[in-house]
Amino acid sequence: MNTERFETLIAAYGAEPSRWPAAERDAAMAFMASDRAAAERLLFEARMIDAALDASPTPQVSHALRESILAAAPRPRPVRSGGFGWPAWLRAGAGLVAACAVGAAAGGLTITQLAGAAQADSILAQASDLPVDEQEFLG
Amino acid sequence: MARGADPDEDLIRRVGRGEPAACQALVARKLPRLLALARRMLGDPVEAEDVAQEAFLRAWKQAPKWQPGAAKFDTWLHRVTLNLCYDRLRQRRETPMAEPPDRPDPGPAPDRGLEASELGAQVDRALQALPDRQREAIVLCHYQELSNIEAAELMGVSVEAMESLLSRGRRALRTALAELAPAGARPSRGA
Repeated sequence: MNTERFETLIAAYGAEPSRWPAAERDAAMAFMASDRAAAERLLFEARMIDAALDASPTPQVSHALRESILAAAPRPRPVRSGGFGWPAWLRAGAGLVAACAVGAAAGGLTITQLAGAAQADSILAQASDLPVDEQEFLG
Repeated sequence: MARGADPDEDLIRRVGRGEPAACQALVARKLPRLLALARRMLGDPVEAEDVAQEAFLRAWKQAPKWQPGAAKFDTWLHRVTLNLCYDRLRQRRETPMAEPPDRPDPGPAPDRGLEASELGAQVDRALQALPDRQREAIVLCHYQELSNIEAAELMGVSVEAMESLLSRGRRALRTALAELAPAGARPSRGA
């Protein structure tokens, strides 16, 4: 750190060491301590500009703005009900099994109905053609 | 930009899950900073609120897919806000107004007094008169208190170039404020 760099530093970042680059802060502070009078002369103007900048008011957040922003915030994802806490793959499997069961029942009923209808037709047809003893057998 | 742990990482993960408390905490933590950034970049309280709102809309969308490690969330949010500010500054240049917008400025808290209020207003006017890039450098380093490396990366320039913008901006502010101040209160140029 030399006078030229110190001058450049405070011309850019001001008089407050916390705003100086971290990598140069210690060296700059050591330079300042080594020649306090010279440093003070350089710091004087920087302090005035810092003070002027600090006079700029910080805008206040209005309640309306805050609420408007929060109204658009993400919502928690809804938890599916009726799953009894089972894993998704298990719930999906159970659903598949249920669907198959319904399909099978419906299919079974249809086959039963078709078979029953076919059997009735066959019986009637046969009843009209078959000899008496066979009619008796078929009932 | 400064590497290392992102202090917002856990909060953003919770925001991404839609936890209301996390969303409120993020607004409490970031909204005053974003609003101040937009306000000082644009010099217009209404436009600054619009920008802050739009920046948060983007944050809400980004949170569920945020990938930690690439950048700090605060830096990303600053980038988004600055881009929105520059969009508006560009629109202003393309459609120049006859007069600047006459919008009431809430100003400082009442207990700071009229003198502080007037000085603050003068500083704000001087800031608005700076070239955009000089104002951006001062806002990021002085008001947003970003490190020199973070500010330079946000601005897309080297640290040396940003230091130059800072120096020129501060020098121009000093000149502008010296011209505004009463003769007896002007800082001596040789000091």
